[in-house]
Amino acid sequence: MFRKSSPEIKRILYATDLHGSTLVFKKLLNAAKINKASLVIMGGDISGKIFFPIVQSGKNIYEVDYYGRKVTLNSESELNQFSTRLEKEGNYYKVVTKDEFSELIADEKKMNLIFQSLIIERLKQWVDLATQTLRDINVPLLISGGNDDDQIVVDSIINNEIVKNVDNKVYLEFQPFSIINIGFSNLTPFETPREKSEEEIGKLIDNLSEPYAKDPSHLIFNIHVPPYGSTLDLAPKLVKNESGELEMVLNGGQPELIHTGSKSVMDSILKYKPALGLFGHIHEARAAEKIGDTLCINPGSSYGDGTLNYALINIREGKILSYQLMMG
Amino acid sequence: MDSENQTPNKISTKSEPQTNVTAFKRKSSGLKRVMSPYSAFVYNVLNIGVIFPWVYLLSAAVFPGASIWLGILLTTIFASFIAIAYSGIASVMPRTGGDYIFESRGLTPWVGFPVVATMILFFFLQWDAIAGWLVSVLGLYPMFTSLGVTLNNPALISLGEWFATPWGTWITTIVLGAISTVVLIKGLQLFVKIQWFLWYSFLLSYAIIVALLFLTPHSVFVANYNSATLKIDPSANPNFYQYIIDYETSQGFNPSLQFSWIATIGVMAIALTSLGWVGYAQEQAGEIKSADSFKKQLFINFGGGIAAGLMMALLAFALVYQVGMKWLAAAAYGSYVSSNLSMPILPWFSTLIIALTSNPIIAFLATLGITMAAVQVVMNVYIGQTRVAIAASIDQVLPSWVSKINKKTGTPVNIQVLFFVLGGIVYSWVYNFVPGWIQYTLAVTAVATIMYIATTLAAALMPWKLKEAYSLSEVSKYKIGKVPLVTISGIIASAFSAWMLYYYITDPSLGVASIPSYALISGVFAAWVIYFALRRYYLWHKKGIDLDATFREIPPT
Repeated sequence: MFRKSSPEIKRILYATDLHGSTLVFKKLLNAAKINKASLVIMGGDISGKIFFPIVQSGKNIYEVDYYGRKVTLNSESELNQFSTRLEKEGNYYKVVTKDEFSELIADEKKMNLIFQSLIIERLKQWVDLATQTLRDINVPLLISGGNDDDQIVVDSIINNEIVKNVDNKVYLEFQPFSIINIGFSNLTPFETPREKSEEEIGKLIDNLSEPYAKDPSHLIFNIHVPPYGSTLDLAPKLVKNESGELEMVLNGGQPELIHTGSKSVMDSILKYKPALGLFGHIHEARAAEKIGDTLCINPGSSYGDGTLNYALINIREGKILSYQLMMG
Repeated sequence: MDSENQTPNKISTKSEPQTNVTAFKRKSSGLKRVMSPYSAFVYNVLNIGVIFPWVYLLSAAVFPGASIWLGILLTTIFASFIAIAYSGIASVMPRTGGDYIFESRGLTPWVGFPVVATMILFFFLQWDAIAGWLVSVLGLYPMFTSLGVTLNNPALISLGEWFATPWGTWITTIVLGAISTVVLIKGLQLFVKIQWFLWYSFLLSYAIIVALLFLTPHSVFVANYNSATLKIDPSANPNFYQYIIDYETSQGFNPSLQFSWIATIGVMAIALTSLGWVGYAQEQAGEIKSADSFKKQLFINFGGGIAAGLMMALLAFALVYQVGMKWLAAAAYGSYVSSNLSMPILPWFSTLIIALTSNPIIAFLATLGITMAAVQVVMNVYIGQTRVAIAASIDQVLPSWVSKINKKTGTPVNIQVLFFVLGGIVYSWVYNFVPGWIQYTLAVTAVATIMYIATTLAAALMPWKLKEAYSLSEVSKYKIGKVPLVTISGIIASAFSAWMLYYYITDPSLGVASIPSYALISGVFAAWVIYFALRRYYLWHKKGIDLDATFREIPPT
């Protein structure tokens, strides 16, 4: 109905904070095809968070502690089903013997190395899959890291004709736009792998943006941490409890929300006035907002329930025309 | 920063080896914005509307052979399937916008948007007016009248009576609407704080009223009723209690009071006007803690429905026990259905406090909570309206102006103010002052029931239509045989709702089966369909936006 002609539109498809969910990554690739994207940008926090060693306790018998609940898998088929579920949720697993498991829990370094290798392995699978899928439609996929990604993980992304590791780089092949990509965040209470001071973030943005500052209408920021004081950076306020764990501050039964974004990012938006700002980091703060002349978008993330949160940015004749916040 | 709440206690949050755990978590965050499930439960119970007076009055007048409490309990059982269906689909899509999100994704936006917009965006304007009416007529009128009677103060009696006039109701609606708008603009945190006061004062009032209904000797009630009537209107018949029965009998209202199953089933259609809203908290699902947990959702929706249903059944039983079905039916018929008898004391359960106590403090406490529950309904209506509108706006079905967040308050000021003006001022004026307008709007219950049918059908189809999201959800584990629980519940709930809809559109005594009413429903629905088609066309041709893509489930392969 009412679909006789289609306007000449280029589309950027942007999603972020996938946290290891292969299901959501596959949806991202499919969304690129369905929505006829011209460019796909995957923001940072690629890595998942939880590693489940699955202990083989007998022939075709496996045991795993799944969120505090002991799960026994009695066949290869059950093991496959369970491991698929873990992968869909963004988690990692490895089948180990009882002895290997004992070694793991006794050696933190070894456990971390295995965890890291699993993340890198999955990321390589993603890159292969993206290359196969997007090659047919000739759509590039830009990947940058986030604060939750170890540097070694980000560095493991090898460029090819489709997949581009743009972490802390400028991407110039989507003309007439210059896309500034920064994957660090400001300091968080979680002491994650890739955090920097506000001053450092400001310098990084300056270094990448200044050569392109003369043409702000064709400048795009793809920065993991959102601008401070916007609707894109509201997150629950946290305090450490007596046992040193972080917990939310509740007020009248509600979480007290505070701005957690980067002041340097906000200053840079106002300074360089890019046409578009793509952000992530705060999963709950799914929002779009005009800051000065800049359309700023955080599509949020619902990777845990297998949902792809994404934004489509529609471009006509080199100008940002409109956007859509989507879930699928 | 992670927002998922799947971090179990036994998982190390610092990647440290532990002797009693087998999963390892990297350094990262793990929190989510929340409204506590108990808050949502309370929100649902209050919203379901234990206080809605027509459940008791209309049932007595139209189905005098019914057992009202039994009809309510039966409705509670069937409404539980609606609650399970809502819990299932909400746990898979815990997103603000509730019914709109579920239907537009689970069925099609061509059904989902017009159905929900007809109910929540249009007919809820009537609820803005009704909610103010509830505060005025069900709360403030009996509060001041009972204080006037117990304190022998004619000024308070006059003030009480003023609240039952169109001007009193309209002004109360505007004042309450303005207060609610300010509270909600300040944020949901403030609302939740206020809600605790509303909740506990309501529980106190409910307990007082039920206790008085059970404990007051009937002869004392009748004597008090007659003497209070004379205080309010000295020219009234001195035995007004009996006069009501005699007068309505003389007017031809002399129904059989013998128990009838058919009449009791008729009560179910009326009780559904309250209990159908078991899933209303889902309009703000994105703000509820652990909304992706099926068990928590059951507590909110199923638990809320059961709690409200039991409270309603007990109140109905106590009311009939005290005043007698014959009197209740006659008084309800005369005051609510035919309006052929002017009664100094209207037969609302809260108004009967005037005849149940001579203690002004008890009278005040008994009516305060009812007033507060009605105030909560005012706020509920605005919250639901705005959440649905915002969700549709984020999808770009409604203009972005609707979901614009105010920088200072962090809340959607535009839409809050718009609904207050449209519903709280304009529509409530029409509702209170335009004679006969009610015939156009009694269809509101039929429209709500159509919405229940659509949402519960979406829930039933979810395992196929939203396959990936469903397969990852907690509710997918629950099956009866090989059939998903959510499918079974959804089918039963939609069949039950359709059955009740049949009553609404065929039984003239329920007030819906009129040509103007049908015309208004059809007209509003058609207008939203046309709006959707035009909006879709505009977005595609002028903005390059493919609106259909918004509602598409993206398969992973």
